Amino acid sequence: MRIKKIIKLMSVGMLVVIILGFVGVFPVFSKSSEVTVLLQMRSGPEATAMEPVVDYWNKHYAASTGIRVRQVTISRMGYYVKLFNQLVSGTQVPDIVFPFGFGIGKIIEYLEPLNSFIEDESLFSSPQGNRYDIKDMFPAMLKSVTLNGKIYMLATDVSAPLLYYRTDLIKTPPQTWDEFIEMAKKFTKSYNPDSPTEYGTVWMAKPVLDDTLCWLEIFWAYGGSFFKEGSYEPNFNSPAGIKATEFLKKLSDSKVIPPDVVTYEYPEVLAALQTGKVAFAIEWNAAYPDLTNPKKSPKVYDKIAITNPPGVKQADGSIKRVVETHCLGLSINKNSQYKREAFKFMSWVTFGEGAKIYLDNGGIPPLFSLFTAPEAKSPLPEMAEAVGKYGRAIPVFKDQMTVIFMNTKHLNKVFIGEETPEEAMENFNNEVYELFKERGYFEEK
Amino acid sequence: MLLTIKRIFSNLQKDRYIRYLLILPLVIVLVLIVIYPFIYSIKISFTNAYTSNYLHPKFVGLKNYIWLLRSPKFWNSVKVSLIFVGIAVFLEVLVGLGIALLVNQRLKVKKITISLLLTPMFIASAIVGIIFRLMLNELYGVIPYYLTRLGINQGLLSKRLALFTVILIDVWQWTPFVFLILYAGLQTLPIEPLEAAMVDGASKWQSFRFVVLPLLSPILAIVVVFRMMDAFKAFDKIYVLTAGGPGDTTTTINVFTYFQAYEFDNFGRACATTILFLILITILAKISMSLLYKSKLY
Amino acid sequence: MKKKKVAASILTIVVLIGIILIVNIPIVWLIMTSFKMRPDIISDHPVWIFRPTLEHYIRVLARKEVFPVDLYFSNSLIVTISTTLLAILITFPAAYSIARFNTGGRNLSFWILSIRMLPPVVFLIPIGMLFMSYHLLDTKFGLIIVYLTFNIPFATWTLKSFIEEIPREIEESALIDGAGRLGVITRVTFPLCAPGLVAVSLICFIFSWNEFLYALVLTSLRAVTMTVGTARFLTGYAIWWGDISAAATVAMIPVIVLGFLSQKYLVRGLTLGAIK
Repeated sequence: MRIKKIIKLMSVGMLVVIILGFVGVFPVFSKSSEVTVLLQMRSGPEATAMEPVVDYWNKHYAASTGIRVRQVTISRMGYYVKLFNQLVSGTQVPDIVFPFGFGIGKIIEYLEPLNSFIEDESLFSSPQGNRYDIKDMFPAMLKSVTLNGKIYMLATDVSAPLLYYRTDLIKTPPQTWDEFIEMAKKFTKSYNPDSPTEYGTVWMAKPVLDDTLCWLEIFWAYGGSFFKEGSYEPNFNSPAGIKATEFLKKLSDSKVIPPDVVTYEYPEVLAALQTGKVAFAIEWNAAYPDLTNPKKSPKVYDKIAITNPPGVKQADGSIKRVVETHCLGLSINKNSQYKREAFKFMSWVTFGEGAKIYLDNGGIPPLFSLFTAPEAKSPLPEMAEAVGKYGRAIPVFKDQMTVIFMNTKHLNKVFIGEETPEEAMENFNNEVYELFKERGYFEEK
Repeated sequence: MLLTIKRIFSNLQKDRYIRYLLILPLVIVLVLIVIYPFIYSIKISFTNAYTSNYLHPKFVGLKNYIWLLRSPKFWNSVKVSLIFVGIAVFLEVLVGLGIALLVNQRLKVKKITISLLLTPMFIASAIVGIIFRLMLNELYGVIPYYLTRLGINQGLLSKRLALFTVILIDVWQWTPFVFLILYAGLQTLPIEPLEAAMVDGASKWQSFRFVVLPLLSPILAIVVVFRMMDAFKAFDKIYVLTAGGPGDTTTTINVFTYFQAYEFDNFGRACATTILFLILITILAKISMSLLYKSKLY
Repeated sequence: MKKKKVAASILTIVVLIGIILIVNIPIVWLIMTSFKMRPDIISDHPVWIFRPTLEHYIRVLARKEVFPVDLYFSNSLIVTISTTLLAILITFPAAYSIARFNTGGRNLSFWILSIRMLPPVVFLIPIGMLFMSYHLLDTKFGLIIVYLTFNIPFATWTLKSFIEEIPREIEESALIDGAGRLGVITRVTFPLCAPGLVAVSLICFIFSWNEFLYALVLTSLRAVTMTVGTARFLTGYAIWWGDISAAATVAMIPVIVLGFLSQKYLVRGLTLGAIK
């Protein structure tokens, strides 16, 4: 009876695994005089940059402060669903989480306001006892995570879509969004058979967040705003909204971008630049290290530059630019047991020595002291200008993410020709209005 | 005392009782994991539940249902689902039957051949999505490269072709299943009618059409029903590959529901979608069940 | 005539080889990608011959702070095996009752079968919300329970077909010898049903291992499974194709091997016992 043997073996094996499993179900965190703070990052460059920071803290300050930090990483796919599930389920760990600035509205009830900690001199200071200066952080970044006067996050990274272009092909990058398309034609084979690149440019048109965030740069440059003055009444069907959306329509109709562009987001655009298929593109500042790395981008690493995105020409001849700027950062779980300890570490990462180490490992902490330091390397000076001069963040309200998703779906429909720009903005505006009405935005006040 | 327990025990062992006792755990579990969530879902579908108020949602009556029934997006997702299931299952059965007939000949290395034909069905759908996202990439994917070489310069994930591409991927993944079952079915067919037909001088096509196909029809019914069930469930690879886009061209009901809940943050509406979806599935299930019952194999 | 036959059989072989290639090339391509260096992966023409590198496997298997493969893999194993065992434990007696006593009649058994038709999204939303309330999110126990929703209907039906095949006489003779019904089930029917149990556990294992949607939404940190863990290299900042291919390869090897091992039972299992 061979089969009997197999069953016996299998059941023994299963038992062992199950016993192991139940031992492992409840992870035991070290319980000594030290407190262990659990920091949860999202997989990607930020998590990689954070590792040496955490190591440094544990090596130098764990003993003196009695705070040990353990970093864990969760996956990007469905990140917000996971983060939200965790927070809502009322778990005490992780103590520190890593949301997006513009996603803070959705989870704001499950995060601890940080104001009282910031005012507390013993907490908002380095392990050596030096007080941090809250004014060192870009004010736009603090504002983008403040609701009703309460700060919910300390930013570790600033992120903005900027213009990357090939210095060997382009002398002056496009200054306005109209020039953007004209120049793209010059570098598209179907318009100009001698073009060195197959397509002029590329766009992050996949219906995920990136799409909307890039669109916002155009929307704001045309003078658009989320809401009508002093209210929550959505204002997306304004001329600015329609013009910004018309730009996308023109971009897609003119065929200066690859046909599959509706499936592109950050990595695809990065690859388009890396493989030399396009001459310029709007892409996140985070791409800079990869694009200038000879090993990762052998074709283009020495001929890529980064600059402000285009803008809109004003009546007086000046150009109005807006750079969509948002932050990623650390927040404290409302149910954490070790909020004070968590904040001690967090403030060190965002304002103290930790920020410097984080920067050296690829992070981009939005601190004036780092951006304007004489030893600041590219893309920091470029970003200091782009973000410092033109930066703007999405206003904070509870359904930020939902509105962004709604917008992204409509932009996508414009891209594939299912809706005209006017229809798209009208429908989008109505959807937002309906949502706000249902969720009581107009009742407040 | 011990004796009474023993008596009760042996009494319980009587068929009259034990048949229910044996099935009891299953019923309890199904009530907990199927019926309870279902009822909960109905309850939520009448509220405006979302992230911040999910513990104390407001009752809104039939509002979610009315919104859905009037929403072109919802009906579009129903349409996409039906197209996806219809075409995918049709192609799978056609190709699967072809391969089954092909393998059902005198072949030397049959076992290995069959094994090699089955691999895709063991792979997680999410990984299938990943594989094709890699292979379909416009910039460095293999498939667009060779298609361009052949003179076909079409974005396979563009608006026009995305649904078709997703269907083809489903066909790639699940034709092996159809093949396997049909092949097994062919093996169980009695030989006599075929031989009789051959003696009567029937051509290959005739003997297939008038002898094999009728004999195979119950098995075909099973295959169609099972594939239909599973095709309706398809989510992973669509989510990984296209996330329902471009536009709503690949937004099946599954994807639509997921988005309502987790992107548009509207659990009430998502639950209402679920209930409407369930009604649709129940109708289809009724039809399929009677098909299965008629096949006399259960 | 003979020539024609030879030509036909050559044609068959060629067509079959073609089909086998189409079926397997995507998988082979994924495995190849996991051994390629980045420039080869994003090269503008397909690279078939390349200098292999193990860097992706090193990152996936050896650098636990980047990719805790041990956690994901053991989660997958624990969840998969527990749900399989639990499914058998619950459904075997029920299947016995349905097969031998026709408990609940046709309605009950077809109702159980119809659960198999329900798409996971239908359960996901209420279960996700219920899990929030009962603190079951991100626990292996939660996943084990949820996976029962698709394993139970399948296991009930398949086991039922296997039990029906065991001649009643064997059980009856044991009953006459004085054994109780329970004794008969545990000592006679259960061992005789061994092939069915193997078939069911193999297929439950494959289904559960490959499950993605529940694990994507219901886990975040501690209970992440291999399939979902693989996707962590996807979307957002750069798809690390090398790493993701390596992780995907690691995730799919066990099921492919099991799949081939279970080939004997596959047909029966997948048709819920209809075709023997």
